[in-house]
Amino acid sequence: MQEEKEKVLESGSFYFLNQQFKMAIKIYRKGLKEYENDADLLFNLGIVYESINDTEHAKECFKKILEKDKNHEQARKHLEKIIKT
Amino acid sequence: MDKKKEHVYAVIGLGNFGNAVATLLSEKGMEILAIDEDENKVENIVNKVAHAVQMNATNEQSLKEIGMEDVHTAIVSVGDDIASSLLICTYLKDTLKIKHVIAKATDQKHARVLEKIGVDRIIFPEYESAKRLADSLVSPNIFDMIELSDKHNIVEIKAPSSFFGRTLEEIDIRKRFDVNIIAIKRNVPTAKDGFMNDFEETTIISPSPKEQIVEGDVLVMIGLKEHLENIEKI
Repeated sequence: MQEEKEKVLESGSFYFLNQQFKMAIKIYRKGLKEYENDADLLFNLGIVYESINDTEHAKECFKKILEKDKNHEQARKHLEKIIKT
Repeated sequence: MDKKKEHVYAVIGLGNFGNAVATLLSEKGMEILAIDEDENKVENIVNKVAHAVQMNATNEQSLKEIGMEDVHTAIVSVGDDIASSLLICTYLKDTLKIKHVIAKATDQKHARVLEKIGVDRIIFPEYESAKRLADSLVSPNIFDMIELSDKHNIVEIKAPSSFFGRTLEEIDIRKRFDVNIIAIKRNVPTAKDGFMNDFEETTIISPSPKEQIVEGDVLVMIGLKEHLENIEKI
């Protein structure tokens, strides 16, 4: 189970690093159907959206993480940065 | 010219705006003399700036006694108290001969008198924030705008999808729209251990014609307002 999630994270990051943002988004979204509201997948997806200035979708991802774990510092940091822009 | 003095600022009036300006300047390494007659406001800033003084700045003698002669730039933000603002600015310009005085105005009448006193720069922070917000709501693809003159602007605009994967040479923006791209702001993807995504904010100044536009790029462009508006419509 954990191995499968790692594969999704690895594959999503591969596309993200190669600036194939649509593919990265597709992979994380598919992964989230399997691992609903998983913080790692949501965080990576949020970062992809933030990096392409799609702030509305990025906010949704970071908010979902914080609903489950209000101590997720990285999600909080990115959400605050978007809101203050 | 005494170089040291250029780094010395006075901020008079420590409400939300004055506090923020003083704190941000201090974070940028400037030496700040922060002044307010409200003890709580001085307490709030005392650990963030070089000097914080509780005093009534409309008292000319007190201003002379606190070392204002070292100040290169003074920022006056005493809220809605127009009389105090005018009195303080007069002392700063006429008596203390402060080189650069910036004052916050509440309305146009206030601004006109400040101008007559010789204030070097008059600001309307609330109006400026409101204008920025209104612009961003009407044109969501515009991230920032600087008015250079009545006719010319610098705008930061999200690259349209039709530009993705094409070089500046191929897009030929100067010929098509008569504007120049002076920089590209780009978030470069990175990843940490365990495939956790991140990105670095970079700015490509004077990009080469061979530079390829990628999704998420923000184009910093200069040109006539009407020409820049044509790009917003793409």
